[in-house]
Amino acid sequence: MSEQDGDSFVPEEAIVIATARDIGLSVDGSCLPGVVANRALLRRYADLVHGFALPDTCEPAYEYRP
Amino acid sequence: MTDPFDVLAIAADIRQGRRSAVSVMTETIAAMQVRDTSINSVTRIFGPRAVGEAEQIDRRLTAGDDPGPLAGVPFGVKDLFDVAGEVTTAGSVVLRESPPAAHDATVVARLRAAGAIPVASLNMDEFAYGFATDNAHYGITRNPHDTARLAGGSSGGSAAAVAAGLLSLTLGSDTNGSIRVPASLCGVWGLKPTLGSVPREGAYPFSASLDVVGPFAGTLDGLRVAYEVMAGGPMPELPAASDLRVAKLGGWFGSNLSDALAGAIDAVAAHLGGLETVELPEVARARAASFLITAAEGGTLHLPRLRRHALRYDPATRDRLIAGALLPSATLVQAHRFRGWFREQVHALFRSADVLIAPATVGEAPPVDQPTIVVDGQVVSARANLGLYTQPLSLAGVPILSAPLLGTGGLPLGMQLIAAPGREAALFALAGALARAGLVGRVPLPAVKGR
Repeated sequence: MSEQDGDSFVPEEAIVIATARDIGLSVDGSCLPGVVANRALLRRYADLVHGFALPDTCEPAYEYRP
Repeated sequence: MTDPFDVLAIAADIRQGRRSAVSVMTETIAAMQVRDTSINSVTRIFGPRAVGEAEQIDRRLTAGDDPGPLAGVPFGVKDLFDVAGEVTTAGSVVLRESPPAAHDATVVARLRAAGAIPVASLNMDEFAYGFATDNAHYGITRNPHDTARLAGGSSGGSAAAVAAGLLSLTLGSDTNGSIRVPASLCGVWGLKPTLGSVPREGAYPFSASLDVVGPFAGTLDGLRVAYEVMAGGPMPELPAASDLRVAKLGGWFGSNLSDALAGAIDAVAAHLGGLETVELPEVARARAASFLITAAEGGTLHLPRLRRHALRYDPATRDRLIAGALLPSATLVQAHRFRGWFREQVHALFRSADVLIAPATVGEAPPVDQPTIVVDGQVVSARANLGLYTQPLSLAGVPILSAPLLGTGGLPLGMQLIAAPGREAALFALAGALARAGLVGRVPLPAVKGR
C-alpha cells in the first residue's frame, strides 16, 4: 500500500514509521501490516467525516451537553 | 429455590431470613467453578473475601441492622472496574503487574453500600477494544445459548455470566455498544445510561469522551434497582407507558437486519398500535466519527505503554491502538465537530417522540469459528462491526436500554430502546409494558425452554 503524490510513491510502511517517530513511538516490523491495514480503515472513515460540510460555527463536542 | 436470575428475589430471601448470605455466596462460587468452564465468562473469583463479606451481611441482619436493598447479592465486574485489593487488568497482561486497587470504583462502592458483594471479575476484549470478547490472554467467552457462538463484547463476560445464571447482576462499560451488543446476543437486560450520569471513577478508561458504565441483569426490576444505586438515587416516577410517544428508527437501522429480528421488532411496533418510522440523517458518518474518536482517544491513552512494550498487547488491539494514535488532529477535531452537529439531529427527534426503537445487532451471535457478519452484502469482521447499530447512537450520549426479544424462535436477539438525555425512566416504563405483554424478557437457556 502506498500514498501517491504526483509521480512519487511513498510506501505506507514508511509513512507509519515516520509519523510514529513524530510522537516518540518506534513501530516494530511485526506490527506494520496490522497498523497499515487499520490506518486504511480509519482513512475511509476519515474521508466520510471530512466529506461533510459543517458551518464554521459548529464547535467540537468534547464535552457532553444534553 | 431462589430464581438465580432475579436480583431482588435473592436480596429478599436474604433480608427475610429464608437464606443466609453465606449460603447464596458459596452456592454462587461453586456454580462459577463448575459451570463457567464451558463459557469462560469469569477471570477471577474473589472467593474467601466474598464469603467473608457475606458473613458480615448475615451478622448485620442478625443484629437487626439493614444492609441495604441488595443485601448479600453477589455481583461480577467487567475486569476494568477497581475492586479494592484486587489488580484491575482491563483484560490485558500489560496491567497485570500493576498494584492492587486502593479503592473500589465509585459504582462498586455504591453497590457494596447497598449490600451487594463483588465476587468475580469478568472477561472482556483487551482494553474494551472489540465486540467479540475474544481475548488473546484470557480466551474467548462463549455464548451460554450456544457455546459454538460468540457472546459479543466487549463486556461479553458480564452478559454471559448473567445469561448462564451464574450471576444475577454484573457491571459493564459501553463506548460503542459494549453493553448493548453482548446483552442482545446473550438475551439479557443491559443499560447504557446517559453519558456522564453514572460516575466512572475507578473504571479503566478507553475513550474518555464516549465511555459509559452500566449494569446487566437477569430481570428488568433488578436492572432498575442496580442503575438507581449506581446513579446515586432513584429515578423520577416512571411515566405511564400509554402516555409515551414511541417511534421506530428506519433507514440505516432498517437495513441489514435478519428477517427474524425485523419480524420481532415489527411485532413490538404492532403491539404499540403501529409506529411512525423516523430517520436520522448521516448515520454512516456518525458511525465513522465514533470509530475515529475511539481510535484516537484510545490510541493516545495507551501511547506511553505502546512506546515501552507494544509487543505485550494482543496484536489485534495493539495495531488498532497504534493506528489510532497516528490519526491527524484535523481528523479528530472534525469528528468532534460532526458529533456536535449529529447530537442536535438526535435531540431533534425527541421533540416528537419519547422513545425510539431500533435493532441492537444485525442478527444472532456469529459462530466462534467464523466470526463474521454480512453488511451491505459484504462479509465483514464481527469483532469490528457488530456495533453497526450501536456505534452511531453512542455519539449522541443518550440513554439506551437493551431489551431481549422473546418469541424469535432461535438464538437471542435484542432491541435498543432510546430516550432523550436523562429520560431513563421512559425506557424502564416502556420496557416494563413490553415485558408484561410477553414481547421482551430474559431469553431462557435451551435446556430450560422445554420445562
